[in-house]
Amino acid sequence: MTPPSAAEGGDAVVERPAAAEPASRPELPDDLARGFPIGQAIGWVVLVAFVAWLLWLFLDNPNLDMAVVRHNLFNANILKGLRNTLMFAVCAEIAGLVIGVIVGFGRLSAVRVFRTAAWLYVWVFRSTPLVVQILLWGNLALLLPKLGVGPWHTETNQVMTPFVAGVTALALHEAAYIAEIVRSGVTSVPEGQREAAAALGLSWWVTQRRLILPQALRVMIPPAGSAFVLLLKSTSLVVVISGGDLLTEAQNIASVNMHTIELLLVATLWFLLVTSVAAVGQRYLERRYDRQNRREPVRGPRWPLGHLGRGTSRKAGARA
Amino acid sequence: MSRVDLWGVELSYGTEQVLKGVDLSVADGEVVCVIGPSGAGKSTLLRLVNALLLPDRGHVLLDGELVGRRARGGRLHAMPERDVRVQRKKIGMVFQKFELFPHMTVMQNLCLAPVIHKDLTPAQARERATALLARVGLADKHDSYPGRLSGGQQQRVAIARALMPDPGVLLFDEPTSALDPELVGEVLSVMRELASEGITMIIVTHELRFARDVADRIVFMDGGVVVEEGVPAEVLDRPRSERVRTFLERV
Repeated sequence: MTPPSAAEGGDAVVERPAAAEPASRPELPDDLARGFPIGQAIGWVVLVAFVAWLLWLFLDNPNLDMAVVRHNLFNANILKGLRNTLMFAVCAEIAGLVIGVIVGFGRLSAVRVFRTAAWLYVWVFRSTPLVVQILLWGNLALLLPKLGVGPWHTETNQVMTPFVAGVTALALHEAAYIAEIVRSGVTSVPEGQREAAAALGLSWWVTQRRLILPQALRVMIPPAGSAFVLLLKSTSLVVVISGGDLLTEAQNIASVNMHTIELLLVATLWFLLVTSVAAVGQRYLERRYDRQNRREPVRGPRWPLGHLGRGTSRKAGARA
Repeated sequence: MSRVDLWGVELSYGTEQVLKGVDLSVADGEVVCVIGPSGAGKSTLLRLVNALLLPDRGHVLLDGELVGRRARGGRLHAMPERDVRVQRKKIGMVFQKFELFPHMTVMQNLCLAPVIHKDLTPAQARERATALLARVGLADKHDSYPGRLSGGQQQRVAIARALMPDPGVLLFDEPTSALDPELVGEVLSVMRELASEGITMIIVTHELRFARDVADRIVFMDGGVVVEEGVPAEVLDRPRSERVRTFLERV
């Protein structure tokens, strides 16, 4: 034993071998303590109280007649407006996807003129307010009274109905955002994947469709889902050209019965429902394209329309 | 007769000249290991053989036929993509980072190209893939996704994928550089076996011991040129050039 260690507590050093003996193991409890998360509990109480207060503000307000809300929620014109809103969103999304994918790949093209054209498109349609674009398309007749070439022409206002104008504006605007989403998705796939595909003698088309896009989609779905929800809500902007959408119909009714807030609430409730459904759809798509990160190969339908999804993705397996 | 020939090949990325006139011939069944410091142009050289890159000057030939180009009217023209794809079937390539397709199972990775090219029916492709996977010791991994495999297993799948079209030539771009040290052996042993079966192989590698064992010839590159080449014992033990000597001392 060296003097310093003896001075600093030689006893402990001497006793260390004894501590290693199993007999000296003290009685230890096996059960894990379960603490009460007091902070979280308070948080829940505050949250519930706040939401209840907001609801009470609506429901127990002499200026708000819930009977009018209930009465108009399933009003035929409201439902027609809802149908139009969905038509606006779906048509604009489909057209926007087609144009957006083309423009997105244009942004990545090896040909400079394509890159410039695609950049120009995104620049114009992303840099101007959507409501301005809707007004421009809705008032196209002021600029071009007639549409067409030579003998084949017609009155602009016969073609550019509020619906067509609205879908056109929404689609072109959506396409600019989709193009950027496509570009970032495709760029996110490592260059080595393209090299590997080329080394296997696969064509550009097969490489994009079977290898690049499926991987890019995983990255693209969350922002594309957000863009679609945004589009659903943006359909309400066609109210400026009396597009016949949900908000237009709600305001038409309100202008007659003067229950402005009640009808805005009706529109709000429908929008909440529709965007929630869209969000659920996005969740399914995300899971669908995340298969590679699951431990086991997945068999059988994994979501309500599983057989639809499997049809395309299983092709590789079926053909292989 | 030589399978692969490079004659006076030069290539630049922008203003930086990566290859400054490379001549190299690889005989049928020969195993050539390309070594040298990073930035020497080794990977670039490999990518010229299967026309992932085309040279600025010089010629690349496979079985005596220009790769990726066609001579017509006294000029070199780019070959149509379709014909390049046919040439590439004769050359398999294995990448440093495996480059398996992560959203496809092992089986789908192997069967994709031959089935799309209609070289094999789906059933034939599956049969051949099963045999190749057994050969690289992964008979039980058909339905796994690449992300679930170790690096060594992924690289062996990549080798099996490269072998699917029964290529005469295999290119390896630092096949063990991305692997944990304990996984290098399983990949090298598969490669060693392939080398003994008479496949023509061009291997860019930093595994000098492996190169000594397997290579018929070692090519040392530096600064975009072939500095020295010869049988392993010559280049590795009695290098003539000072540059090779300093490189060997450092590694």
